[in-house]
Amino acid sequence: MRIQTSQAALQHGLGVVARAVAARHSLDQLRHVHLEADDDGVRLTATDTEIAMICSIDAVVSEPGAITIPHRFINDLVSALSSSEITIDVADNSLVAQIRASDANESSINGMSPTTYPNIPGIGDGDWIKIVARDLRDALRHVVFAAATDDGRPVLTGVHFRFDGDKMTLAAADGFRLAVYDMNVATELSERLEITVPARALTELERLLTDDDAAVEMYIHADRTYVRFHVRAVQMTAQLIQGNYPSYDQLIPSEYQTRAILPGSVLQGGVRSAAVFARESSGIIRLIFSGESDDQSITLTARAEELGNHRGRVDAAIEGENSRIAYNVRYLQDVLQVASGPAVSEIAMETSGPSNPGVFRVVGRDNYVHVLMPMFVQWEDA
Amino acid sequence: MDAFFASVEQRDRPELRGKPVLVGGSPQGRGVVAAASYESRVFGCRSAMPMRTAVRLCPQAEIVRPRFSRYREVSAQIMSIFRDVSPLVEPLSVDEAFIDISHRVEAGSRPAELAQWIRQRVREATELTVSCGVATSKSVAKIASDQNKPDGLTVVAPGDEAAFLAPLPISDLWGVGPKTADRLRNAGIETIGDLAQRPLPWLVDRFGSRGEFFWQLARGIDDRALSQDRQTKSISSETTFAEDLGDEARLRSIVKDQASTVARRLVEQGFRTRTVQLKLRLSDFTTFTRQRTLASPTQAAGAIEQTALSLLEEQLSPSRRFRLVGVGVAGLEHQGLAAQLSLFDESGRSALAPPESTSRKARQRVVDEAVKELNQKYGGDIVHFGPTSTSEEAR
Repeated sequence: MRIQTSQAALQHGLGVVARAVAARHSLDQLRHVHLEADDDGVRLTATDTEIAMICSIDAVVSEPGAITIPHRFINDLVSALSSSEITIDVADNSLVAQIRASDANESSINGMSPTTYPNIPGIGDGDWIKIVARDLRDALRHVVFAAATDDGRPVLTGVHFRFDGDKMTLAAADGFRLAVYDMNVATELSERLEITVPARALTELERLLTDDDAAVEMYIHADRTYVRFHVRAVQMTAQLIQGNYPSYDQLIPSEYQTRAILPGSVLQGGVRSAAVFARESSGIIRLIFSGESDDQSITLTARAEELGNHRGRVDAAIEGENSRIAYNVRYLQDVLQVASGPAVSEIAMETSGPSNPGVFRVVGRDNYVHVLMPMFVQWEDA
Repeated sequence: MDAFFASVEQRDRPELRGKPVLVGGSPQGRGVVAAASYESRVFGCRSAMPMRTAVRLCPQAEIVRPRFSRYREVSAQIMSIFRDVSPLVEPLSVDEAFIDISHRVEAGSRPAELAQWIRQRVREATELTVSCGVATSKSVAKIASDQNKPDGLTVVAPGDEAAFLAPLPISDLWGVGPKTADRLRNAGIETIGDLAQRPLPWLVDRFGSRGEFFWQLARGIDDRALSQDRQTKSISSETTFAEDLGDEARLRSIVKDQASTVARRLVEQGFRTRTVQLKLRLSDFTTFTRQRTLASPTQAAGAIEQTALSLLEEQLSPSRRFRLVGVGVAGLEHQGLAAQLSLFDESGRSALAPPESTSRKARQRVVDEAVKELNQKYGGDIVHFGPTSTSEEAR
């Protein structure tokens, strides 16, 4: 193998695939990066067996070939090189990569045979879906955070994708909250399709996505065991999570007793002050909705055991009965973070009593809903 | 647990299986039998008997010195299984505990099935047998657990308590020691039923307030709640390895799993923690604990996991092998009467669901280990990764 590339291209490629390197794994291969050169160019691959990243880099291939070398090692080396041109040579039947930089630095790195490298599943029968990068990024931002991080119920560590016609619905839940986001895709599938993609893979995907109209191609293999995303020069493959995802539609309340509408940033500000106290102890923040004609507001209270108390008030348009509810401040801040972005003017908070799920929506957008279970607390005056 | 110390010894030392085993002090001195295996009980050996007497009854018995630290390890394992069923566990001794399952029963679980699940989990985790008694009160449950030993299960249905107790010898009753039993027998009381039929004043005359307590117990009346005065001060999850472990990746993954178990218990019991501890035991049995205090109390799995892992990182070195690792939390703060409500109903994640050991990560770990071993044994690249087609349902 013999390739010529620039330091910048190589460093970029190594940086992209770094996210899939299992740096502490006991199997050598998973700490390595796989270099492959052929007529199609040069590709870098890394995998931790759950996800795989393949990044094509600009390079001139004089002789095709492949090798796997420790990722951290070559990554540190390439970052340290200041010269612009880099040549990588691997002699036939050799497992040593010779790396020459144009500034006369010369190194050799011992590698392993590329035949021992994990097989990254390729493209075959399956479905292709085309999505606009900006739309997908927005969708992921709204749901991925709600997925479970402990694997008590493995399907909940993933994000559920449902394709129906040209509609794609993303959902994530961790047992305490549920986020559901609808969007349109450019491809219409002939039949309904449901898969669960590990949230971790989608966090990585989100990093790759740009805020523009670029097309992202999503490939779902016919046996529904893996998915692959093509984003510019990068291909990310992820194992799908098997098992039935809970049917979540029924968990979204269709009615409410009280609805509050207010600018998202106003509520976020109020919660931020209360959070200072809530985070110090039990994480509980209490919201009291007042719908009196002369006082339409939400009172937010929090208490830090032995440290002090907080009470704040924000104006809101209240519809329905006076009511109250307590939330875990972290979950509340998570949803406000995504539901009160710069493009959002107002959010709607719906409740049906202190023990029933609360609902968060963005006013004027019916494609996002977030359900959050309250905390059960003692109310002093009750 | 059944013949607990003796069963642990028979499990750890296969050459003792099927043989009469006496765990305890020396027969030359004034040693006492701490536990007698079922094989030795045939000869009349019992626990608490002088070792000298036991050896006379059964000269062929193997005498084993007790290893209390080992029993405590197994005990921690068992108690942790109990806590998977209910947070309300009152340990009675190293191998015995009351478990309040009333909230599970209210939620629709069947008591006998919960007991079977406990028995199965204990058997899988420790290769030891446990006998369970299920009843509406502590004293009846305790007596019931002794009825079908070893490896038994006795369920006393609500309302049947007095009938169940009536034929049993008076010495089975809670609080009745040998001396009290003699006094009762001298008064013509042989069974618990005999005692239940005596008038209350007769008993109070002779035994004072204890008499009233016995009288109520004999009629199956016992409304004592589980003793929770031993307030939870710490929560931990520990693993002792069959062989000393040096593999860093496995250690990390075990610590991660332990951290998530601890975090789950914190949430269930409504606590937050400020202090994360890592307990380690080296090959030479040196045992030590390292701990770190967090900026603010938490019950988040991620924070506990990261802290535990960074504590582990400081202790890893290529030459070190570990016998035991454990993650614990201390400095617990109760949330007060508050609980995060759940989105899914309880039936979705009943404690009868598959145990944690079959979690995705745990299975992956088994595969990784196997691949590594095969590659070491047969060289280089005998095992390759292929596309996966496992399915949760197919498993």
